[in-house]
Amino acid sequence: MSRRIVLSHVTKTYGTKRALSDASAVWEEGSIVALVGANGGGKSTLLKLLSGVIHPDEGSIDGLEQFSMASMPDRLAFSRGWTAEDWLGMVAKWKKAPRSRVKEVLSEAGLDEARTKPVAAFSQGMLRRLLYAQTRLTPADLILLDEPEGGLDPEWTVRLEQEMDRLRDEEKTVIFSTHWLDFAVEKADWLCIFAGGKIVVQEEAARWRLLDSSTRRHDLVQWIRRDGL
Amino acid sequence: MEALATAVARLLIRGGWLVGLVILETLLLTGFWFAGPTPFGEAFDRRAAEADLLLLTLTSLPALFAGALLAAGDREDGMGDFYRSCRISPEIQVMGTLIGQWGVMGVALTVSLVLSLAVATPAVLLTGSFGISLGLSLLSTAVHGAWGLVLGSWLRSRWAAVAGALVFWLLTVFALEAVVTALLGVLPARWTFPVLGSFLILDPSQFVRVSSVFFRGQGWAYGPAFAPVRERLALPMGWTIFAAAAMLHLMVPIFLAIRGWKRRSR
Repeated sequence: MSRRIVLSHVTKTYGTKRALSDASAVWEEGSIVALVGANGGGKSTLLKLLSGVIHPDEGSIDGLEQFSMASMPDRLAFSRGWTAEDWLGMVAKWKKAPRSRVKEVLSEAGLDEARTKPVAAFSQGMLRRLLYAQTRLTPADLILLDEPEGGLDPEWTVRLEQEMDRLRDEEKTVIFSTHWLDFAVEKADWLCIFAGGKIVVQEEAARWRLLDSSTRRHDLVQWIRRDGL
Repeated sequence: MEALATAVARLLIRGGWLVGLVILETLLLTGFWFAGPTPFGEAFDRRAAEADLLLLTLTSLPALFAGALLAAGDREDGMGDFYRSCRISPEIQVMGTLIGQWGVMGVALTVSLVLSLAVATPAVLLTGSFGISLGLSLLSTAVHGAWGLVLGSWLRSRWAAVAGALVFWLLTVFALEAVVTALLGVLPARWTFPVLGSFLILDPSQFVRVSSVFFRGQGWAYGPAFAPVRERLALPMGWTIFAAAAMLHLMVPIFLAIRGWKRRSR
């Protein structure tokens, strides 16, 4: 029997603000799921819930314990003292990855030359590559990515698309949030559209692939407007 | 925990805390040692009290600031969330941060104390009272560092944490003492021991101070009401009581800081 992640009526509230409301979904092992929608729609909250950073107020998330997980956050500011090599070295220790892996993933992320430079001075794209690199320290079969494309230049955007293909070939389960709808439609099996803290649409990405880019965006905005307000 | 402690220590070293503290503390201490007679003699006089206060200030304020900034920074920067996503428990976060911070500040204090005394009055380095001062200063660094983590993990921002650290410091090192002294002037004599005793034991800064005085055998400075305490502390049991109280002074803020971290993941 294949593994699956089951969300049942998951709700998360911050103070008086309901960040995620009554979210339910079932994602099979090996699925690639894209979370798209407006800012504040609940995508990052769901990824935080899945990665264990926060816990739901209501509902449950089952099946995560069957996966080894790697998570890429959307935002991480580094103090002046951190270098890429030091930080990855620390994460490698936590994840029990061999020290040699640090150099390998830095090389994969194109950060060889920047490895001893302060991360605080990194460009947005370099930072995204570093955050992605830490997910590669150990083999994980569930990968959570919060806006992996943010700040990437054209070359690394292509590399990200190739990386998603590789993850698919390796039958990894990937759940990622993005504002880049075409990327989501082309690379994901499932689209979850978020608006106003709710999953308003959940369907196979295949249907969206039949639409041109402009129609996709138009449809997305319609869903967000209709259910998010 | 070791990886986090090492990382925190590296951060503080690269951030200039180690060098800055060594320079600042060495200069201040050397100046103090040269400014008058050595305060490490048998008697607990004004100079000894001033030396205790100076050491307490040098250990408490930087440790409070560092702890508050580290904890609040981890939250604001998203590093705390990242730790949780890596399945690093709040216990390990707090302990790792505290050990890393204490390591750097303890080294800074030890180096500056030894350096300044080596320059001013090297013979003191071989006395017991120097060992007592150093040991209690290291304890003060750890306790105040832990309170800094509490403030950083509960208050909303870096600035609030720094302001909280400053208020905590003013309160525990100066303000409470002034309040208690004023209170003792108006309270009946039978209240002296419980009020003064509670204050001296519960206030972390005063606990370090009073321990220094008692360990030097100068407990008479607190008056006749403390004669029974002096007698008890003269026994080996005194060490046990001190160790238990010191442990409590460490464990309470560590527990509160862990609670603060856990609160964030609810």
